Amino acid sequence: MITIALAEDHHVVRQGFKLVLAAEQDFKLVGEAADGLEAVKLVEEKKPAIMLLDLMIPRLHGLEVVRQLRRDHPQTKVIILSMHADEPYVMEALRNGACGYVLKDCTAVDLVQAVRTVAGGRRYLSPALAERALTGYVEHPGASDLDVYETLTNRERLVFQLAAEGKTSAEIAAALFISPRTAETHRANLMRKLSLRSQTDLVRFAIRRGIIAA
Amino acid sequence: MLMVSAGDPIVVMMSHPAKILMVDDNSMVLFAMGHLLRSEGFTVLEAKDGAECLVQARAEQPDLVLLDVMLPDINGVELCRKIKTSPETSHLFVVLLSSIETSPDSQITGLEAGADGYITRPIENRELVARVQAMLRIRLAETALRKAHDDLERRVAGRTEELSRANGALKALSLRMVDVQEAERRFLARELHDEIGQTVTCLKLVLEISLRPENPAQQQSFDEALGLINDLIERVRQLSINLRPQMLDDLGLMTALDWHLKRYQKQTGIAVQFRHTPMPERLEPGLETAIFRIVQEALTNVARHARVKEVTVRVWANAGRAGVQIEEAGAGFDVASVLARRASSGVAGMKERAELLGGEFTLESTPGHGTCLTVELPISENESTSVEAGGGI
Ligand SMILES: Nc1ncnc2c1ncn2[C@@H]1O[C@H](COP(=O)(O)OP(=O)(O)OP(=O)(O)O)[C@@H](O)[C@H]1O
Ligand SMILES: [Mg+2]
Repeated sequence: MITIALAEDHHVVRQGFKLVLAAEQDFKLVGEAADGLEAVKLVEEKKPAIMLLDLMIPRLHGLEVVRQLRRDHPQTKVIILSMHADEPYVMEALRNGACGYVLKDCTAVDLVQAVRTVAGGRRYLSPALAERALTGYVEHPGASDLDVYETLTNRERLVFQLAAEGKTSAEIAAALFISPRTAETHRANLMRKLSLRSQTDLVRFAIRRGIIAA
Repeated sequence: MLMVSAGDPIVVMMSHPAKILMVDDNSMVLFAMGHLLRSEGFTVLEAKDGAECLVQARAEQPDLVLLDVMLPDINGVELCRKIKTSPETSHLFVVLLSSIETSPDSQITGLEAGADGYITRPIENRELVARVQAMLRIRLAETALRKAHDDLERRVAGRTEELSRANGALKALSLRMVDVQEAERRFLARELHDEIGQTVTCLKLVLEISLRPENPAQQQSFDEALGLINDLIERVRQLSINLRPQMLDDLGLMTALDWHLKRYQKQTGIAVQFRHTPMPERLEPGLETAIFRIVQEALTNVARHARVKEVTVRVWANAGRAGVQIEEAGAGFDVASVLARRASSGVAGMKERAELLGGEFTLESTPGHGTCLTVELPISENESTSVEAGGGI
């Protein structure tokens, strides 16, 4: 016998899932919840083997519910029910401790399969997701490869070049046919972008980049 | 009572008889001239020397000072200069009265000292009165003009203030409109996705478990029905995503951007290079939305107008600012003429969004050489006053 709790705020959807689960002899629905807080309480009380959890449940986001359940009730395995087939959601759910991720537009067979697989101690993803080599997805985008110098606008780059050559704002303004105030603004902006504090910093940066000769 | 029209529509009424201060050391002159002017209806004050003149001028604020150039304690021209340089009396109208011998030179010195007129003696009574009246008319016209000028300045200042207030209100309104539009989109996207999408999804599930086709013909129509439902689900999903990707609220800007760029790449065949500095976990909702929308809009333009195979998107955050840049080496265009054209909604919208948030918008493009759009926005310490509800987690 596999004990199951179902957390889903959408009434019609909940009825649909119950219908699917009821058809299986060895499934036992032990409780239902209509929001995230209820879902957590339900697990505390009933300690089901499986929690079928809607990702977009109100009051406490599904992702947060998984995080809490994994921390406080690791014996209950969570299967996410979601309308989102997008990888970032799937990855985020798995990272937070979900054992399965089932698309709501799955087939009935799919849902039943998910419950059995996860109850058996393995992970489960809807076929549509599993096919899409999830591993190819880059982990949370935190990798940094942007050189801030690249983000200077063309104008700022010209001003940078002239400033590195030791030109004053007035000379820069004259060279670029802009007002001294505008030149000053460009200069201040690019210094800020590049985190340069002084003219010396600026020249050193320019030399390091080969923008001017040492 | 004197009424003067100074050639233009400004008409000034003097509310009291004109007040004239006569300054002369000769009491005979004072007596005779005083008599004459009083009989013409003027109020006449008298002073015998420079010191007395200054005291009266200050206290009485006469409409006209008739000043003899030869005084016992001070030269009339010098006195005139004193009157004209003291703030309490500088606005008084001063007319120098010559002694008998007066050269054109001394007239010039007098006028240079700031005198408003010069009357040479000897002079006939009738002429003196006429000259005095002429001077008063000038004086009145001048006063009227000054008043009109002051009024105008006050009105301009008032209008300027009104205008800047209206501008502020307009800006607040635009900001609010952007927020409301975004909130509305978020609501519609959710409604489509969660309500309609889920109901249809459920319909499919129920259909599946309750209908068991018994022959090939039934099986075929059953499969067709399922196909239609799947199409419908997909349509609703795309509609919702296009309105506003829920991911932006749930998983934050960087995840949503990364996902959007992949989707864009797949749909357009344009390769996207995504580069960014380390970013804070989350930015304020308003800021995340703005950056996402700008990238979306700019990339749409790239796909529609740039004719390129590759585009670079850069995102950074440093020194209290978040920046985004979209650059490609495509067709390019004349920025000035596009900005001048009222019809452009995409570029104008991005610019407005950036400026509403206190940021800078830079659009550089050269026909034949490509386009680079840069937006930098301040990251405010405290939460924005935006009506957006913020992310779910
Ligand atoms: N990346 C680009 N490369 C080449 N031309 C561009 C680019 N971006 C904008 N343009 C030019 O600027 C014009 C204005 O762009 P804008 O986004 O304001 O309007 P649009 O794209 O024509 O229409 P929409 O209002 O639907 O965005 C475009 O019609 C196009 O000529
Ligand atoms: Mg456009």
